Amino acid sequence: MKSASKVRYPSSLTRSLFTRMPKGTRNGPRLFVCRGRLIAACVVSCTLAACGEPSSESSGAGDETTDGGAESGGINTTDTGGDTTTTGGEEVEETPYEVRVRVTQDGVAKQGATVMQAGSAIQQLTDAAGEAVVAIDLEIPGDRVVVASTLSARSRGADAPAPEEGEVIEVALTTIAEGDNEAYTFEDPGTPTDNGTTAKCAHCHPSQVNDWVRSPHRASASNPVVQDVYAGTSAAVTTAAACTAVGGTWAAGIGPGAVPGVSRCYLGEGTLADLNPSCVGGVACELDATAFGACADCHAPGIDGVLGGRSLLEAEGFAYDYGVHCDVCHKVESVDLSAPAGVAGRLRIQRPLEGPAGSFEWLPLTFGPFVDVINPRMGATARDHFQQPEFCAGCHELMQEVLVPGAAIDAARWPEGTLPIHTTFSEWQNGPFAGVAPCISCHMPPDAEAGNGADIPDPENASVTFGWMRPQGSIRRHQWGGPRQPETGLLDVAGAVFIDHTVDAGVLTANVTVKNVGPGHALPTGEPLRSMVMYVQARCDTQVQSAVGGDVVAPFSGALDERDGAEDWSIWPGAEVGDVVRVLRSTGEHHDYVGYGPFGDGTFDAVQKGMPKWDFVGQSTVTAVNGDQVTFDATLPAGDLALRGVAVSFGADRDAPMPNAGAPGFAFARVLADADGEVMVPHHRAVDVVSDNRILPQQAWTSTHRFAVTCADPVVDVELVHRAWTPALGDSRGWSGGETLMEASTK
Amino acid sequence: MNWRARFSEMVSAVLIALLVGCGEAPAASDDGGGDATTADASGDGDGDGDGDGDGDGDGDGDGEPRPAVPQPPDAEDLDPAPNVVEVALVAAPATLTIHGESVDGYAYNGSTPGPTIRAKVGDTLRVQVTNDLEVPTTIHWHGLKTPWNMDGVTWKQSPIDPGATFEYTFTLSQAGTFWYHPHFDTARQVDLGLYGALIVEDPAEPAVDHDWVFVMDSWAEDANEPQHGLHGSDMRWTVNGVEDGVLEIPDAGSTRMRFVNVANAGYLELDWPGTRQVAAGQGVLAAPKDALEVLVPGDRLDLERFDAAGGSVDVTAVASSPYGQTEVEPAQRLMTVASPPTAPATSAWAFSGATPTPDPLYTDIVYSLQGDVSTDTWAINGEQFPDITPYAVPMSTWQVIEVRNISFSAHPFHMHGLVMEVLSVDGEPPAVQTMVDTFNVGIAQTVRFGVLADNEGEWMTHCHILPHAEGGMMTVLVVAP
Repeated sequence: MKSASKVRYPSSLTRSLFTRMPKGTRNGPRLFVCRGRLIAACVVSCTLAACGEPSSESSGAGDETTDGGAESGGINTTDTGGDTTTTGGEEVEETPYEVRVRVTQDGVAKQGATVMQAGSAIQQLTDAAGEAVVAIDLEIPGDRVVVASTLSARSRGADAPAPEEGEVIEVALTTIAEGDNEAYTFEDPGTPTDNGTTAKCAHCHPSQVNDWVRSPHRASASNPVVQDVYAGTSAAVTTAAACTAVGGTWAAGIGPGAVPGVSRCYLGEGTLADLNPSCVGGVACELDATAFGACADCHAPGIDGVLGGRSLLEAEGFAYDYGVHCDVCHKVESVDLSAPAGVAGRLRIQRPLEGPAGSFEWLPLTFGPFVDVINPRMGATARDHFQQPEFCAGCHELMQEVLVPGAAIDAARWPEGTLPIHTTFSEWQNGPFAGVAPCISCHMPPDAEAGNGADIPDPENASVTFGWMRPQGSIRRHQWGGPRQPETGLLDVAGAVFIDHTVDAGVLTANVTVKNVGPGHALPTGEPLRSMVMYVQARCDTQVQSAVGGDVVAPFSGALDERDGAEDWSIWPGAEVGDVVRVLRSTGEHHDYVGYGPFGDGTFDAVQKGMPKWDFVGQSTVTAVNGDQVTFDATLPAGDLALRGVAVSFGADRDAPMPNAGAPGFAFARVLADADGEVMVPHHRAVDVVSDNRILPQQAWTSTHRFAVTCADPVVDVELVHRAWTPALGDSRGWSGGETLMEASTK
Repeated sequence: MNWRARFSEMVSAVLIALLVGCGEAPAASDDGGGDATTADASGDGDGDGDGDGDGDGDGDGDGEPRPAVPQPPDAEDLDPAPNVVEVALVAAPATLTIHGESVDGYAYNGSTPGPTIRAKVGDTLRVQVTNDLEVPTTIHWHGLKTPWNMDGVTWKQSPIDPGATFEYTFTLSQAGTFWYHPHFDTARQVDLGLYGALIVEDPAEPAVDHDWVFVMDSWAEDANEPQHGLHGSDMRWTVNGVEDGVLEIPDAGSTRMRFVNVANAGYLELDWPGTRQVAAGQGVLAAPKDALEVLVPGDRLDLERFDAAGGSVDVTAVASSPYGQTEVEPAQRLMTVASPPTAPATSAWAFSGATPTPDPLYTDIVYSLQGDVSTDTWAINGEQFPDITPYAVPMSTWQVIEVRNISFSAHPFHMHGLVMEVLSVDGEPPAVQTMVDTFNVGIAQTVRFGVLADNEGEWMTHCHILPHAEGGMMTVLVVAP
């Protein structure tokens, strides 16, 4: 049984009922509103009046009346008197009432318009005569206003006093001019420290902007990782000499933010270089590129002018600094999941065509979740998609064709001709949280302290101008927390580790289960460069025990170098003392996991799922280096594959992803491969998804590991980390960070 | 005799000053709402300090004296045997009066709260429950380790049909403040008034002069509204069925004041000056607490008065919401307590000082709490009761259970049939050993519990915000032989 539909407010919010007089009393006795918890305050006033105090001051409201919208061009104002004096101090219980509202749009009675009392959650639809009856809830604080809205008109309101006999409140709507306006300039969201005027969203919505400015959405265009992958550069290399040292080319091109003539270090691999064969050497390809990989359609959707198909390096100003910002999202009129991602069509942007209007170059137009927003600065009209996962799917769902010229998709493997690149939405849609917890449940959680979107919790300000106090939880945070914001804690609750181990004849066998217990999507999800890696070790007290078999961190997660069984395992160019070489044996089998799409629906068999099953054999540590020749602390055992990497440091602070493929553990990722067979490549290069063993919601994977132990009561340590990119890619570009500890367990 | 009659017997005199007309001198007597030693500073001249001018001291301006806070009736022990407590309960429709409104509700033996069952550790409790409702019902013994077939749940068991009688019988092995309520159609039946306290005394604990029960429930402004307000923001709280009443402390004897939050959803941040918390649902604390914790739905806490003498104090509460935030409204006054001039006696509580069991840093079971206010749908591990996959653990094993709240609403996590020790909250162990059956898991919090699986059965495990439980946030932990 659910609670009654009546909207409830914190009782303090009802104070304004006392300080504002009902507006339907202009021709009758002046009334006090004495209901609910207001009684005590009301009685004070009444008592003072009865004891001879001036009644005009006894209401507790004095002359504090409002015009209910005098500032508003969005409200049909009426003269409601506004005098709060009483008649002889008489206390009269105001009687609930109904108002009849007639809605016209462009002068014609509008059927199906949504009509409601501002601040309520109860909505009516108008009949064929454009009329609806609204019951006025006297406990809703603030201006007593009725609002009408349609999908094709901006919301408008009118004062809603107790009506005279037969009185009908008229609300006239005007159809929004259809189509998009390429001449419109996206507006400044402002920042928490730059919110001085109502031209900036942050002026009235500081909490939302404060959340957003720290979110990945704000950095979607300016993120140096995105810019580096796009242009094939390394932002971390800032001098010509350093660039040459890493094998790059120092050249002038267009820099991030559309800054011309910026010298950068081009490394030769990037979206523009890979997709534009005319670009020689992958240097400054942005100067003559014609293919852009659709990056900006989601990463810089606020580039003014033509939407879709733009270069990320056209993003300047707000489009660059603020990425996915207020005016872009709140210009999304509708979502068409069949269209290309982002503002290329899936997120249908509608910028206003009407204007100039007053001080506005263009008549404001804002799409949002609430009907009862009638401040003319907003020009609001409601859309349900703001609370629906489909809105997120505008960018967080991407089926991609092969983009690299000359490369082809394996049609037998991918008969639809596209690769699943980003499938966060469909992972949720096909998982247990569909209908239970939409994306906003975790990524835009309720803001329990916010009374309305204008971030003005004082109910005295509930009004046309500032909006109405909404039920607690209606207003959502705009932080979009995720793996790039550890402070949101979402990574901490995403994965769980369960350890079960036995010891037999000096060999500890550990079964380690990793379960996706938190998110409604796969773990990891989103950008395919991401992965999740689990490490296992056994100890006797502080003494780390030797692994002698079992599952390993897959090679795709990255090693410094590798050799197959036919090669000389004493030759390791570039090796350093302390490096670890891990030897694996091929079992000839493949992991038969249940992954996303064809990796879990029976389409692919174990081999097609692309994860060879390696068995750990042993490892040795480099103790000396002589040219390419290295010396180990122990003879390397025989095996099928040797991987050079670094030691796993349990308990250490996690920062950059480390190359330790082959270590006891496991790795989970959607592994994209390019035409050369290189794996874990940026998705613009992908020609195949060779494996996808990411863990779907509430699913688990158990791996097995064996250690030779020297004590009777060994313990097993497990660490689970999230990686934003591979060690090799991060290292080559000089990116900092990228690895976050998710879970540590010891048993 | 219902509680209203008992209330009349218990309170010999109302403490409230009577109506004082405009301009009259302040009343000399304490009005129960202000400080007896000070004159009325409210300026209304009625002497009661509430500023409403009616002199009744309650600030509501109605001129009516505030009601006394009664004690629920004690259940009659029908078995004279010293180690057996036998009680008869009849669940039936009843008309309740909540802040002046008649409410069509339910009651046990005509009383809401129902009769307080009092027994001692080691007793056998037999309760004959007759269902005079129009719908099936059960009784769940909240916090007690009963045999599974006595737990009052309908998971693989049948409820008591209308007109039928069922005898619950089990041995009481735990001391503490417990309560009983239906576990069928739970949110509705509890909401309508079916609840009562169950006190299990430990003879080893200090005997007190006054052992009182305060059953806290919340009601929407329209008392007939179902769920009585999901959020703490919009509720009027009753103490033993009385809103904003007066409690007269008759003497300076030692006290144990047992609070039970039976509200469907409301959290209470209690403040009773001059008290300390000495016990909780699972008995005497390892160490007393001076600062009172938020009392979440389903949970209990016991207070002792220790330094209050003379005058009156207001017992207040800030209602919190399931969003984990304190509401913006000021504290509500739950009742006013008038004290005798002598400081109360204190008792020699045997606080163990036990330290928490160290967290072993591994996990056996994870319960992930999910859902959203926008869907009003709730789940544990992606499953909604009854479509669940229960965890099963062997009898007599120690289990580490980690509860992760990913729903952005707080959830009082309740486990039937077993007692949980709090190992850590967001990685921080409690200051002392903390044994619970109901424990709040705040927004984005992770709470780890150690549980000894010492009671065979299939134990319901759920959020005790009852609409959340009915919305699916409920599962089962099987303790197998």
